Amino acid sequence: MGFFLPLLLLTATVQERVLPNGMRVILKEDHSAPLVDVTVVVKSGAVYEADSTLGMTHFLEHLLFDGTETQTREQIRDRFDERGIYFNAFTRHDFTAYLINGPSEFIDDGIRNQADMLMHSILPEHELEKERQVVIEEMHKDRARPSEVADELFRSIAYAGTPYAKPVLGYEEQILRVKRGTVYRYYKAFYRPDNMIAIVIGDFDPDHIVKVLEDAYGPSPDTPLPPAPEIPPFQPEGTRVVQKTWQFPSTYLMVALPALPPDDPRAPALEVLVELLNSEGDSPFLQQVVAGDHPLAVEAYFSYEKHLGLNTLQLTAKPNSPADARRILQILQNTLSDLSWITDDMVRRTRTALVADHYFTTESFTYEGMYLAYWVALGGSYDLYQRFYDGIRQVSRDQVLAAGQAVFQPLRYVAVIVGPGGAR
Amino acid sequence: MNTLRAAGLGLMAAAVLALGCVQKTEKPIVKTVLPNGLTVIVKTVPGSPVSAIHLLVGHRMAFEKKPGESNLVQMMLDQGAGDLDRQAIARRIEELGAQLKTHDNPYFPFDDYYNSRDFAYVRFKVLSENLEPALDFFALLVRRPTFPEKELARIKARVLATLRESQVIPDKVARNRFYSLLFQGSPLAHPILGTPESVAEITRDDLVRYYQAAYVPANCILTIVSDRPASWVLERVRKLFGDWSGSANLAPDTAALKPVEPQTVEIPVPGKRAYIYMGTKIPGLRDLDAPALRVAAMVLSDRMAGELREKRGLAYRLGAFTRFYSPGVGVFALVMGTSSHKYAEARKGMQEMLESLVQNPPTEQEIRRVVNASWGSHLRYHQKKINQAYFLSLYEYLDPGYEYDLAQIRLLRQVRPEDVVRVARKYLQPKQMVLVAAGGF
Repeated sequence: MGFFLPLLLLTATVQERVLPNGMRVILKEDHSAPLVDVTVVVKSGAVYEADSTLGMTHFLEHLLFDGTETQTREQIRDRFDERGIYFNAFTRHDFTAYLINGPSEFIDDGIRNQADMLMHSILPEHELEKERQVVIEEMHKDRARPSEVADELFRSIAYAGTPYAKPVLGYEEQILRVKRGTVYRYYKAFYRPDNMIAIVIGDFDPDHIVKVLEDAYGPSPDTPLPPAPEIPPFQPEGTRVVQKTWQFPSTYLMVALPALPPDDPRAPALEVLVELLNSEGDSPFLQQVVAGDHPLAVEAYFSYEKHLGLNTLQLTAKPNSPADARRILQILQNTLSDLSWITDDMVRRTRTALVADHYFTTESFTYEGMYLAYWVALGGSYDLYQRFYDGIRQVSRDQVLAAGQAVFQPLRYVAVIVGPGGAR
Repeated sequence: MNTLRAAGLGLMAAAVLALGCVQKTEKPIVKTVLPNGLTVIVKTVPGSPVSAIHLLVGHRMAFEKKPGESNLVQMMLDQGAGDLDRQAIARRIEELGAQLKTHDNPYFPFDDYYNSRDFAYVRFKVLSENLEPALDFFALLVRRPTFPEKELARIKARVLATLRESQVIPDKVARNRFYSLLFQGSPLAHPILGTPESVAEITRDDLVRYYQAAYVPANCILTIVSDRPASWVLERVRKLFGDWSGSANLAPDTAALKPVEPQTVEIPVPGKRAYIYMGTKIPGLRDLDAPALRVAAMVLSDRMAGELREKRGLAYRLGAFTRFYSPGVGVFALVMGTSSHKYAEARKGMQEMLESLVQNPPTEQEIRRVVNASWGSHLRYHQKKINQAYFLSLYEYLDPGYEYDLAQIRLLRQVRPEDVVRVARKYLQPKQMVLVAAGGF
């Protein structure tokens, strides 16, 4: 067995280790089912891309399923399928994650197959052309969906000057032009064990599984890691509203307000506050915007977006018209400037519902792996993830009000309204 | 039809013992039938922070006088119960840290996984720490629904809007007609949502009558998966459900067992898509041929994905499946969604795939691959306590007994290529198929 440096024994069943090749490994034993989930997080996402490599991370994610030095695309897939292993991948601004999930008896080979894809892909030229068309088709599909177009427009305005202004898929003209060599260099720069975190959840022996991971991934190169992205903080001055027109008949309103980083002790209280704002029964905002005989919008919801250095509270609404979007902004200001509508009972119910929802979701190893992927990619650990959800259980009304005070006083935001032509 | 009766539970028990990996996860499961006829299954999972309560209400369509009654009863369960109105129920669910699901949400594409024309369900997940008050609340919901008139009007409007939309969605049109042909004369032929005409006519009185007929203990299976000992759970269940009364008076559904005539129906639906259902009746889940038929469907699904989607680019959605029903019958079907201009080629491709089961029998490796995939999928589904409760209820209802949930993987692993060829010859002749297609031809 190799030499491992145990960093922290978090609980009896959760460990975090660093392998000699630099790969971080989070091991959560759960023997309730003979199943194992392995999510490998690569610190490579849209925020790591240069102007010359926009969209590369997502394009590469597609290409890594297309063949390695020793296996064809079909052989990779068959090897997973024959063992009942589910496999998938997704790309976000902050990271890329590759997951496998299958019976414990087959997971060693699943890890070897996954490692072969991540470390030894050859990005065959003929597959490159096919994947280029697949990605472009994905872009076209998104372009036909108002919600996607609205999101891209919103990001480009609200987060201008940060890497979050760029779409994860990149731009069509760049994907059409990109050469295999450029993708390959990007691949080799980022896909190395010391730039990866493996999250293993389920029915396994920790000492055995780290040995399998170490053998499968091999050593890291001696060259330095790519630099971490520089992300200026999101600090709008006052309130700013941008209004645009588009080809669709619907109207969207999207608003970004600065929020707390997830490791801030007040973050759990902010999560409860966001959920309260989303509660149709409790939120005065939703009661005025989507309820009643003449609602201003068909849909409105808040989300707490946590990223590397950029944390925001985001509102997405589908108002009836740009004029209604302006009315919604006024209601938003009124709601956030006075949170006295929040009661102890509401906080108690909401935190219970949040905790329950988290437990329901993470009953599945795959979903827990995906949740954890977000946290570790943002520089967190299992401990921070656990503290955040434990923290939600303890949140009081006073803490919710304090979190609101910290985030909404003074009120600062960037709002984007986009609606049918003819609007200002 | 030859059945598993002779083998019975002994085979299931042997299968469980023979399977090391299943044995490892085996938890104490207790089944009892209360004096009022309610079947109760309790599974204990020590330390689980999540508990699940599942009620299966059998023969949902057999109690309908107007198609759609069962669906409306399900949609109304959280609209009023005892002294609680809709808002109070929603607040109570939040307080308990719970989630309730009683019907399919037509706006979520894959939400209909648990939807059946054979039975209705009430799925309730809750934090284990709140299991005791949750059981009280659950009993209130299923035993004392009030069906408030004003909520009924709103819910009916929502169902009617869904039905109007469904009339132009090829897969929904094709599916409803396919089952109505397959189960002609049986309540299983009813469309789950009803029809615009039948739903418009349903009154509160209809729902009360339906509820009183269907929601009776002998027609229900209550399954609880929690961190509590079975004795604790059973004591609570007896207290909450022991005085539940009423009896289900149902004649056997002989129409469901009648052989079906092969036929082809093409239904024009505007648009550029087409959806095809091709299938037939097969024996029920207890039949000795059921495992081989299930494997045949898995092999076909795999072949269709490789050949028709990946190689020929014919489909945006496709697969083959088996479904089993309480009268002791099943359905074997192939489905495909395609572009209208590819309809003829897609239909031909489906027939070729079906023929390939005999002409190009599956290899041992092919069977191992699909059975392992099924095993992986089984494990993933069973991670959730509510799904554990669902599958225990389902197999108890379909008659092999709840033990089948654990035993099935061994039965599937025993299937050999010659078994697949044999059942394909016996039940899956392309000329014997019912084919329904809907779309812009």
